[in-house]
Amino acid sequence: MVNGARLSRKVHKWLSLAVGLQLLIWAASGFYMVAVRIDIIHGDMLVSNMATPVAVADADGATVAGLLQRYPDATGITLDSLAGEAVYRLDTPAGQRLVNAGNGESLPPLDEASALSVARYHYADSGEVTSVEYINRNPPSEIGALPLPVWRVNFDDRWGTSFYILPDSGRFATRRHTLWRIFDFLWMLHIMDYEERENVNNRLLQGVSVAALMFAASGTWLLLYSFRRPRRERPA
Amino acid sequence: MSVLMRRLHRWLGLLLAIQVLVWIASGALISLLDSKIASGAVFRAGKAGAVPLSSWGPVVEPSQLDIPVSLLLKLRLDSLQGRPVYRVTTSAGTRLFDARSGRVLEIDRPLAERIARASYAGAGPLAGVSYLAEGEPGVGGGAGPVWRVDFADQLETRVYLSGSDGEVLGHKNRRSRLVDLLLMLHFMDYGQAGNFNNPQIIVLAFGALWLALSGVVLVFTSFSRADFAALPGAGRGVRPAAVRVGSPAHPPATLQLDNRLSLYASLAPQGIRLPSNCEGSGSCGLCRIRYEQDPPVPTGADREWIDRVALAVGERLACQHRPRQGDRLALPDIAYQTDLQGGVVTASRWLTPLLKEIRIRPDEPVAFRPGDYFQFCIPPCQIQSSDLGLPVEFQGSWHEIDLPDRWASTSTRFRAYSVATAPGLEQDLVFTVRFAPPPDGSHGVPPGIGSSYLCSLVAGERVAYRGPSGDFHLADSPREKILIGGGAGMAPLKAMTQHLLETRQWQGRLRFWYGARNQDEILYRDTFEALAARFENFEWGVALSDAADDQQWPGDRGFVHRVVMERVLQQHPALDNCEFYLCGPPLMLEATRHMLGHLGVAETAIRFDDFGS
Repeated sequence: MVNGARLSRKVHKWLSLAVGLQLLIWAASGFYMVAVRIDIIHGDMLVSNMATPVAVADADGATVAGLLQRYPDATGITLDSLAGEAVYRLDTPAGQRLVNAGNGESLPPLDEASALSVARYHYADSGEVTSVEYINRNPPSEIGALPLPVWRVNFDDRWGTSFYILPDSGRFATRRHTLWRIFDFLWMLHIMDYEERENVNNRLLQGVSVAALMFAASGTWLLLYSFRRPRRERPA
Repeated sequence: MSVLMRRLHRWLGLLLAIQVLVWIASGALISLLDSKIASGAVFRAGKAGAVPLSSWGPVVEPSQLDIPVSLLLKLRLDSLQGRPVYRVTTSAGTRLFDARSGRVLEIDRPLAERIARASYAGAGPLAGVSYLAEGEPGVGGGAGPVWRVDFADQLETRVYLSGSDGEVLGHKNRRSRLVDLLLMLHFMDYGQAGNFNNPQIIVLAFGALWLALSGVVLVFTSFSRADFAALPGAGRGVRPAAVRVGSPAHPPATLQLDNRLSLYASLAPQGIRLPSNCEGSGSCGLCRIRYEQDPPVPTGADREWIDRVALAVGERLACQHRPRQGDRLALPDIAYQTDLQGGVVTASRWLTPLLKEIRIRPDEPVAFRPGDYFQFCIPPCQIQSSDLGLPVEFQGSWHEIDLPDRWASTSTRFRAYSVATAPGLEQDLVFTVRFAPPPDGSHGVPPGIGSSYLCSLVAGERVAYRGPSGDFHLADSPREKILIGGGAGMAPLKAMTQHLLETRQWQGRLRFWYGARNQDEILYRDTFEALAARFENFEWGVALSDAADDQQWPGDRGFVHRVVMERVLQQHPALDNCEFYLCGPPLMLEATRHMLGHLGVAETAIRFDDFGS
């Protein structure tokens, strides 16, 4: 007769060596990811003016017809707000072009001062800017697939906030802060893709999760024997 | 600590088992399914070369569009299916305008179909177009109307478009719908909100975190070096520790012990076998030794089995500590007994439905102290219920016990039992063995093998044992002695009582209060009633905990510690001049020790011996 109690205990005990640490990592990272609200992770409290009205009337100085004459190969034109000013953003085969929607003047890519003013325009916390970096190679892993170059503006608030602004389009591309960075790091640990942090089909995760499934099944099996009164014989 | 962790792990496991299995199974499946297919986008067409806007001819200016200007957030001129369009985003949503006419462009069925076809690169024919006014969970934020365009390919691809501006919100297929379901289970997100910060998952994830933490702690306590002894290279790094070991009858000698093993395990190859019922797993408390100097920090098992006074003088369980260079240890004499002694069973009889008295005539007379135990050798054996010799009058009580047809042991074990008679009083050694039935509701689990073997012995059979040994002894003092016992805890207390009264003719005050469930379970009732009649200084009391319906019982009812409290301790004039001797099931011991502590009785005045019931 197979002794289920002993076999399940043995399987559970030895598999714990293989998957115990990863299960702790899954539980801890999973708890963080569900317990900290996603809008906090995304730093919604750090930004403002993300959707400010832009008046068409402002755009009188630059008509669409005029823009199409100046940029005949533009495939898309967007009227948007740049730090509260109306701008046209043109998609051309040579990249994005920025035009002042008030007077129709072409705007050069954002310099440091303009990037700073965009960052301050959207910043909602009380920190001061500590540094501005122009990144055109070796981007930090936290900005993933953003096109380069990009301005990075760092603030000295308790969140460790960084804003990323694209100079060519003037777009406020994304932001990062400590809680988000922790989230990204834990996500990497959660899916066990330590390089790109995005491939959930990696062999390591597949192998460990199947072993963990057997481990959890053995634990559940063991539960059947775990709530019995202990049977001990002692001197009496 | 490890006891607490084990309990925590067990209960959390019970509470969370299903969701933990769901988490791991859904996670494993998501990982195993090809995410390229499961993204739904296998048949998503790449972006066609965008058309220069100037090729469409003149367009109207944004200011000519019929839009609430003050609410405009964003506006985009773009191409859509052969015409220039304005996508206008206001705080009320996004609308589409034909950029040549300036009129609102509705996404109707034919246009939806054309947009969907353009974004679809598969070979399946169009199978249906439907308008979902309520939107679709998990698509484009789940709110607002969407168009759903179905294609009859092998993956049952569906293309979703925004009902307001025709934007392709995404592709879904059979596989991605399965992944959506798995994600819903993984996130415990049973609504349509797409929210993994829901309260149910936070609570369960918190529990799972503790399940994992306690589990990792248990990994460290569950493995011993011995588990890895078979691994190649396990022998490397062995540093024998020189330890000085002795017992009252054996002068100290220095031994080289394997420091990868516990003291219990490392002494065995040296021919020194400490008593144990649990083979060194910390759950029987028998392998007690004393450090003569520098005892290690006590473990949870040490604290569970050894009282504080004994801990303070260096007593520990040998299974809990490894040999350290320079340790000096005092062992019980029994550890040195390599030769087994023998004896013949002279009689055996059931005293109560679960307790059997077994009398053994030793081949050579043995000297022991009241409270001592012997370790019986339980050889490989096979038992069936008829071997137990249960008399007819007790068979009714056994109906609820679910015994296998037969059960067996294939290895030799040792089990300890206290002697239930005073030294010199009888020719035989007397033991009361409690038959350990299978736990309730555990079909097929065998009864305890040690008690099965001993209960199956009949007169004339030979047994082997070693001993005596023990640390539950009477103090040599004139103070009043109060003995409190229950169940099979009778044995050592009976030996003490008989020793004091009959052998030593002791004149001090002696009380023995015994707890049982009902009248059938009162052991040696006649013996004690006769002793109480004979010796004025002896008080014998019984408390029945399960005799509410028993009209015949004239005595006390309730748990024995409560009855002793009411009948003896509350009105006792000099509690600090009393000694207490306790032996019984763990719960009774715990309650009694707690009560005595509450009364301010010093720990040095309490001795106890516990046993599993």
